[in-house]
Amino acid sequence: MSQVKSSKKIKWALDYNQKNKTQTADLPSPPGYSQSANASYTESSKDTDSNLLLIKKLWDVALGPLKQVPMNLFIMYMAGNSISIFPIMMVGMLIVRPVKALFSTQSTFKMVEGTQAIGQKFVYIIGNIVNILLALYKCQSMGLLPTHSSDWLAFEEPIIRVEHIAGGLSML
Amino acid sequence: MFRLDILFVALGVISNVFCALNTLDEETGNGRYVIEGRVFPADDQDPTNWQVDTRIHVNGGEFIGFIKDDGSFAVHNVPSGSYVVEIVHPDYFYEPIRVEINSKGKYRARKVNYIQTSQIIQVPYPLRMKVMSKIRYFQVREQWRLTDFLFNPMVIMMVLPLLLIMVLPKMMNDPDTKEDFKQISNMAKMSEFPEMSEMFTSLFSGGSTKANANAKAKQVKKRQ
Amino acid sequence: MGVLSRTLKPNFLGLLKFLNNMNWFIVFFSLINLSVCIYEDQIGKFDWRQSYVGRIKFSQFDTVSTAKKIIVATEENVLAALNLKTGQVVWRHVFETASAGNIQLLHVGEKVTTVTGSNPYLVRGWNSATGVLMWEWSLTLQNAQQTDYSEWLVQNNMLVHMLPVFGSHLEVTMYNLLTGSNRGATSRLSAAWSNDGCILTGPYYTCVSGDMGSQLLLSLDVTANAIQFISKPLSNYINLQQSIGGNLRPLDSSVVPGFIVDDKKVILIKEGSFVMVGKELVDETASVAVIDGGSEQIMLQTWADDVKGFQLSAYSISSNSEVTEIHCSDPTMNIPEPEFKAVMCTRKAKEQFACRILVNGADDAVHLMQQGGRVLWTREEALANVVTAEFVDLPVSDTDAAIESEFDQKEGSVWSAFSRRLHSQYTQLQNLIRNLQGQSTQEDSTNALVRDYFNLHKIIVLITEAGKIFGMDNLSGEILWRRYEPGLDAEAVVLYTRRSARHPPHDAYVTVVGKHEETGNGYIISLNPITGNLVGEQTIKLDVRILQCALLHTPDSEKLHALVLLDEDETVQVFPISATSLVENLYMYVAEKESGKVQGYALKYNGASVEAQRTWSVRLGGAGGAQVAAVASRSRLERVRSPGRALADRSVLYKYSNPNLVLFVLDTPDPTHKEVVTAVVLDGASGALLGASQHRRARALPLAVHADNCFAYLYRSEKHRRLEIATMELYEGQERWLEPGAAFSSFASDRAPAVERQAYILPAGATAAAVTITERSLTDRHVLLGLTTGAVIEMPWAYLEARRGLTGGDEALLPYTPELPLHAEATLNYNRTIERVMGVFTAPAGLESTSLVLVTGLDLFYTRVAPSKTFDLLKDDFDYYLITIVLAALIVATYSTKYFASRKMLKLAWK
Repeated sequence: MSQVKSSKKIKWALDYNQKNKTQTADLPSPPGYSQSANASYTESSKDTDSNLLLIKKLWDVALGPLKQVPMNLFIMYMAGNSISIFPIMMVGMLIVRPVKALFSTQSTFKMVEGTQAIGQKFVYIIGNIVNILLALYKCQSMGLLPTHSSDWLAFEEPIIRVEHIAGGLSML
Repeated sequence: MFRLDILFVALGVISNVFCALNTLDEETGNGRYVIEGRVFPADDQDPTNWQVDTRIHVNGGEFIGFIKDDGSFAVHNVPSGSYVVEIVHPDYFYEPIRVEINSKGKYRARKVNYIQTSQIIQVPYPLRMKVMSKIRYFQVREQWRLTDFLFNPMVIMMVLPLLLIMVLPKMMNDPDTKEDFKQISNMAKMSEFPEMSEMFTSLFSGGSTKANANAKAKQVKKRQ
Repeated sequence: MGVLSRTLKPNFLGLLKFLNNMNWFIVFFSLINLSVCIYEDQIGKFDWRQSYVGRIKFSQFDTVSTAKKIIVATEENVLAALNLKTGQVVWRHVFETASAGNIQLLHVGEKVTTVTGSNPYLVRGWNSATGVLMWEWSLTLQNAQQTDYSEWLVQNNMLVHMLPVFGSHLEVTMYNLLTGSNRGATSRLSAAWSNDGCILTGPYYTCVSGDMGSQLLLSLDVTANAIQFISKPLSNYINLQQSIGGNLRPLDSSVVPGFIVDDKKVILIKEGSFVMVGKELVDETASVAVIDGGSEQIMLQTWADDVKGFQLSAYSISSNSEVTEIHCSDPTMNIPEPEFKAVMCTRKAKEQFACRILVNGADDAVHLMQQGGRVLWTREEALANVVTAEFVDLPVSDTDAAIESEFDQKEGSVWSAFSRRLHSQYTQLQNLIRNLQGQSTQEDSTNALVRDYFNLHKIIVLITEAGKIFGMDNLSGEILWRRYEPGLDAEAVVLYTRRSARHPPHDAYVTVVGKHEETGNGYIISLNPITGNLVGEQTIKLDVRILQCALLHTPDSEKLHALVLLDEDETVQVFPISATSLVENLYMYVAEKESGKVQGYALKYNGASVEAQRTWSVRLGGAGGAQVAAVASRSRLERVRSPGRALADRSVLYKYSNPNLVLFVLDTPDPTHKEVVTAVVLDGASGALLGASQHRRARALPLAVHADNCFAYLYRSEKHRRLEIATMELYEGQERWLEPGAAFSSFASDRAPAVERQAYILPAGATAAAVTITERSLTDRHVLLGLTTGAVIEMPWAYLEARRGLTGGDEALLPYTPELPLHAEATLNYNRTIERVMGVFTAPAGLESTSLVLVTGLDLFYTRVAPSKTFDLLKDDFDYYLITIVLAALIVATYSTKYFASRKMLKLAWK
């Protein structure tokens, strides 16, 4: 609801907050505590921490495709080499996902501003290409790629006949 | 008992020889013999007319025999040799039989085996041909059954997950099952994959992280 | 929910584990389609069968049984009963084709008696109502000479057999009809005057003997105990100066014994003397019958006049007057050489004759007529002996022709083409409206003979052995036109389709090349197969004999393929003459049946005419000679569908698709192995031997088929006493010898292909074989075999493949089994057996999946075959209703859910 933070004093409320903030100088510091080291540490770690976290997260994203390789291998193995609806669906998914990811590289790495952007993009692209190659290998083992001569058999032209023959048993 | 068997066998042989001799008497000169037998029609055949549709082909039509009223047939003027006797009827199938007549006029009837032509499974002569089966010429049309629709893989793939989605959450809300799941996930939890991202970050970030870590360690050490 | 969880919980883990372990295997069915069945409700839809009996030899009306029938015995060795009213076959018995089945006598009394065979004879008695055999016994004559002149007679329940020994005596034997017991010995009647011009009519054996000028007419009753002999000088009856030698001709169907002398006078034998009938024969070829017409005896005559047509007249013998009711003179009826086969007349009290006359023509057609000449029914029995058949396309309808003609005109202007298109569309729209509004009868008259969408409606042109040519509609089996060619000897006749009906202003053109009956020279008939009229060259009678003929592959300007004839003196004639210059690259081969010699010719156009040069010559069967049993070459309609076949490791095995291959199957005599069957594959243009196969102790059947690079032929293995099919296939190997698209020339190839051979056992007898053929040859090939049991079996080539059982082949190869399966479901003609299958003819239809099949023999059967099932058609029982209902339901459901969902969302948004 509304910020009811009136300075209205409620009778039974006990407020232990001191108005003045000068008490810090009164209390002695615990043994072994040095005030100087504190300040610099927190600042630097805060900056580097957030930077590093971002980069780390982006690396997660960049390595995502490569992490998916074992799972894709497993899916390929389970789908089998026959031509029916389930393996085709799986192969289709295996191809389409990396391709879509490749096309959306720009948008994925939109928020990157760090120094390792090029490397990350490169790794990402490599990962997707590896996935695509895996899918192509799957196609090859299913026999879908026209790599053999029997696949081009339908396009071979028939022979042209030069001589014509006729005849049979003598009609005498 | 043993002697009785021999006696029966001898009687059988002698009667066969007598039959052969009798059939020798029927030969009409020039070594021409008769192939005789009897055909038994199927029960659901028309009793008055089945004899007309049934024909006896010897050696694929080299000799043709016809059936008399009582079902018996005789193919006359057959020279000695080996013949395949088949009963031809459009609706019923009779098994063909190979009849061999040797030059002395002895008949032997055996089952036809084209692959092992010397195999002899003897069949009584005079031939007794019974209907083996009704010939099935047509394929049965596939009828549409409900099970075809239900067991279609596409339907199962769509309907079963639908059921599971509706049923499972209701089961999930049960606290006991929640505990079970936790157990399962604990069991199935794989060991921690080495944080690759950590590795890469450390690799490419170069000194800063390391330096920070070192500084941290140093400062921690310092404090101590 | 608690209940559910309590029951499911202990099983839940188990369920999960179970689901993990279960594997849903997808079963993968074989790619080969080996089932070739039809469904029971498809029975009469696209097949029909016509039964025939053959040319009638003897016939008699059967008036004893209740259903009026005619019992016939035919030249085809068939005994049948025909329904008197409709002419349909009531029952039929087919005897053997060999001389053992020849019918010598037919006698219809209480029971039907037949004598068949040629020493030994079989005497059988049949029940005339049902056709069931009552009794049979065998009769063998002691001396086998001159049994051709045996005469048979049934009298007083005795079977009389008479054997004349010319110049000395007659041997007469009488047998008890039912049991065959011989009543006494053979009696010899002395008849020194007997010669081969004598005839047996009734119990009288009549002869004309003596020197010219003083001939005697002698007659002897062969059955009488006492000798009854009539002898009168011939001059009493005919004028000897004008006589042609006194030849005797029997009466066709007569109640009283009688005969015709000199083709002029009719003499009856009554009460032991000759009685001459007052009326002479009107025409010397007339057929005469004498019947009992109630109170008097009537003599009927029938003949065919060139101008006046069919003639029938009757003369009452007792009252010496013409019987005017039995008369016909019809120029439209076309019965060549009519002959009475059976005549039956009854006379009601009102003095009106009611006759049933069975007339047979020289064209084997049999007609049943009434007394006035009105034909009740006709049976075209020439179709029991079809020599060759060909399917001919029908022309397109007028509207379609107009559409196609649009594209023919080569005008440059776009606007004129556009306006033409508009005009044709407008006419089509008008036609459509007219069709929708009312029955447009103008289409009905022509719709019978117009090509349908799938080109399944064709005309079958059949040439029969009697010399009669028929044009038959293949969907209904109805005869559209018929043409009798008396001079045609159909023994080695060839039928060519010179021009199909696809080229609108020109008619379809079909040519029959045969021999002339009398001279043996070439006889060529050209007709329009749609109407049956003579066209173009019409009839050509050559003055040389033809050795072989060929159809030129290139059409001339009128889209007509020229006919090239090779005479016996090796000169070439080309019809039409104008096409002589088109002859090039044509090679012919002629094989001699008896010696096994094959001679090849090259036909060259040397500027003026075409010359046939002898090129190659092969003596098949070596020096000992051989008999050619079968020759098979590629069909003109066939195309090669693919240059090779794919193997399991996805490489290609290329086929040797030489279009000039010819298969010769020979019977060679061999001293050690008795008979040897040799199959030789030659290249028809170059004479090169490309493959050969030999089978020992076997006899070849005249059945061989060839399609693409595959050959199949049948032979009977005497060693194992079974019928075998051997196949040969020619392959090039893993690499193609020619570049794709290059021209194949028989003279350029110098490598021999690899030959694969295989043989299989056929567990039945086969009498006809053909391969299915389709328009683009994409569908599988099935071999159709006509069996002796009367069934036509469809055998997929997958069972006959030469590479069957080879390891490392492609997955489609079946493992090798020696015996071929003959499924009942593969029978094309289910339970309508076809007696004596003699030929199977196939033709492509417009649909790629379908091939049209005509089976000929004693019966005709037509059907459609789909070797790879009908892959280009929706299946027969495609449930349109179910799909439409489901679709409609889904659409309704979609839209209604959309509406309701939006309403619900709106309601939710308002809360």
